[in-house]
Amino acid sequence: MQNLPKIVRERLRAATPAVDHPDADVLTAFAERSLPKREQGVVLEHLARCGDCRDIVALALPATEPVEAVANRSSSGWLTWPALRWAFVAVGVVAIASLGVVRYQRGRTQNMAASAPARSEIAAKGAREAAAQQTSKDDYASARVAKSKAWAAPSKSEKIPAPPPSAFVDSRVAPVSSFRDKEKERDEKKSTLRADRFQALVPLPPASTGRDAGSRIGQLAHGPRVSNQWQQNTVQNQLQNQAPSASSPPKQQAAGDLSANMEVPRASETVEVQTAQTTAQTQSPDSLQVQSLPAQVTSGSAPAVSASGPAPSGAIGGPVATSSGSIPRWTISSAGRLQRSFDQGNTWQDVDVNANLASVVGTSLEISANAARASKNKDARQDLKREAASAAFRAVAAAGADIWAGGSGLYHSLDAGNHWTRIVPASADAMLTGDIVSLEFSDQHGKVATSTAEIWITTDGGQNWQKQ
Amino acid sequence: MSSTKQNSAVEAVVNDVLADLYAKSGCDKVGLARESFAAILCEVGAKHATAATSGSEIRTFLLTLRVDELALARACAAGENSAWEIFLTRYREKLYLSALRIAREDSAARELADTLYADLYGTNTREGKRVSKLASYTGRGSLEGWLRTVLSQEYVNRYRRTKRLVSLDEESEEGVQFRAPEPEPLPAADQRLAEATDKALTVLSSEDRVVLSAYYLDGRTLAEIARMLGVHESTISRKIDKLAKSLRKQIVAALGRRGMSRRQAEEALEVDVRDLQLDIRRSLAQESPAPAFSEKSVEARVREGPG
Repeated sequence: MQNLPKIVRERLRAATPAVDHPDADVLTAFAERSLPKREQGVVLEHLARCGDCRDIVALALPATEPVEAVANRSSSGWLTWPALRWAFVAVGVVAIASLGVVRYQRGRTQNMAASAPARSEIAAKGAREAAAQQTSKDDYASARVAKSKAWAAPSKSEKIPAPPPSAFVDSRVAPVSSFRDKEKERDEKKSTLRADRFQALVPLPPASTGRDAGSRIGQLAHGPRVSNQWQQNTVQNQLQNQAPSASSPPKQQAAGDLSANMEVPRASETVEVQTAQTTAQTQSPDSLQVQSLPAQVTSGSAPAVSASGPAPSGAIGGPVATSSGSIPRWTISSAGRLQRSFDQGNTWQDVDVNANLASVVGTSLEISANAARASKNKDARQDLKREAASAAFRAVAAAGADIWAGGSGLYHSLDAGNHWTRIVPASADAMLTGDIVSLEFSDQHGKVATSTAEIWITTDGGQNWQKQ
Repeated sequence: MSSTKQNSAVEAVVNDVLADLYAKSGCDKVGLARESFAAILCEVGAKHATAATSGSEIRTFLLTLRVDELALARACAAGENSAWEIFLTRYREKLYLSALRIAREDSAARELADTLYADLYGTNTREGKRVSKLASYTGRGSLEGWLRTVLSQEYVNRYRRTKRLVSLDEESEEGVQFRAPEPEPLPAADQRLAEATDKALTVLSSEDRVVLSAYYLDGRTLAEIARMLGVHESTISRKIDKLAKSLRKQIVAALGRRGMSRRQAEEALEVDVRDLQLDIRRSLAQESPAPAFSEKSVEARVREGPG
């Protein structure tokens, strides 16, 4: 700022002091710019000569404006170079990190085909582990029956005295329902109720058990997972009604299914406890009773749906669900065929996705039988079948009974591989091309990568697709 | 005669706009009667109006008044409790904060605010009637701004002046009986310089003089001056620079016309008469073995200068 000569300051100061000071009103109006021009000039003239009035006007300035000025200065400070420098560094770090994430995800997608079977195995493991360890290979079916009979017994013994083995009579129905009522009244534990609800509402996923005769077990309405006498009785009643397939193993396995699929937090605990008790109770007299059943099972006719006896309670007698054994493992053979195993991978069977392609029949679980029927009846599917028969699979993803298999086409099964739907991912302006090399599905969300480096995504279980 | 004429003109305008202004003023809330309000408007209008003021100007003037705050202030002046409640709710805190900002010290701020409260309430009586300072508010600016201005006036009147004066105790301590007489205002180093300076200053606009005085004499910041005049800070900065340069140029030119060489003129501008005065005083003080008066009072007088 220019320095004003001191003589000028002196003469400025020596100017004639004004005598007639403006009112506070006028000074206020001057400071607030509400004076007319003429009066403003008068006040200015006075201020030019009167230091006191200048002081008054300066002192009376409102306090809010400097605060705003400071705020403005501080806000503009963000755009200064030092702040921007750090902003550039931050942007660089974020860019590098996102690049790393993208690369990692790409690598993961490619590894998925190999890891899918393992994952399905893990999903089923909790439910099947105990049973598998105690299963004798020589007498697989009878052991399963005995075991599951015994599995129900410990629970029973905890709550009410075990019924005599000979109690396979219809009169048992009454105690069952009375027990159920009693239990409900006595202890309305959430776990029990939840299990009941599952039983009533959710058809259990199907699977076949055993490797030979055992695998012929058909559909039945199996008992609830809840470990009480009522559950056992359900099965026993079904046995009583001469349902050839209504043996205990399905029940146990179904319980396993529920444990694994429903992901009820308590489920896995329940299975472990039951299994431990199974060991202890294997020799119980009950098992003798049930062990005679496999004969019926093996000798009985395959169709099982109609044979399912009426359930003692409404909850149990619900929709006839296709059920069989444990959750299968899935893999792709070296020849590119889709395979599944119900015995921890000891034996593998090919799955023909076209056997039940988009089929709603579902009266039998036997895939090969269905395949034969389908080939007879559905000429229209021949082409597709042939295509799929020659098709090589490259990836499979299983989450419980929800199976996705992909290769030269994408197939989806909601019932552990019994029925398949072919799905062609397409969006409004594009269709999936090339072979599917990897699959990634969890719940309703899925991601499919192709050999042509396309990535398709669904968020609604395959209904709608989006190409990325 | 003319004032009677003005008053009747104002009254006519007031009657014209009274309904509108009364509705705006919220007089019913503060307990001010319509007649009292009309009288107040007449008084304010008459104060503003001159012989040359036309009816439309008076009308515009009345319509731009802050009638709600005017009504509140006048109701307070009349001693309406409801009005005081509103006043205190609205302005008590602000008044104290303004006082603190002006006085920059808590006890002085409280004293300042308390004094103003006493004035506002009207502790002084005139002809047996309480006279409230609020009765002088005419609604031309905001009531809050008026309160700040009144506070500033009070502060300038009381504190600033007492600071400038040396207290009686100080004077006696420092030997007022031996005090030297007020120094004669020294003649300017050169009469030609003073004349040239005065001439250069007189051609400045009043706004320019306000800016120069506020900056160089009052020590106000650029921001303060900018807010006083309602312009941007940078405008003030440029203006001061420009003014200082042009003043110097004009004075040098004027001195040249009066027979000084450019170099002499520049030197004359740089010489400070006060410096000369101080030098003389110092040399005088050094000559005498004991100073006749304390250094402090000398400095005080030096600071005040001849003006």
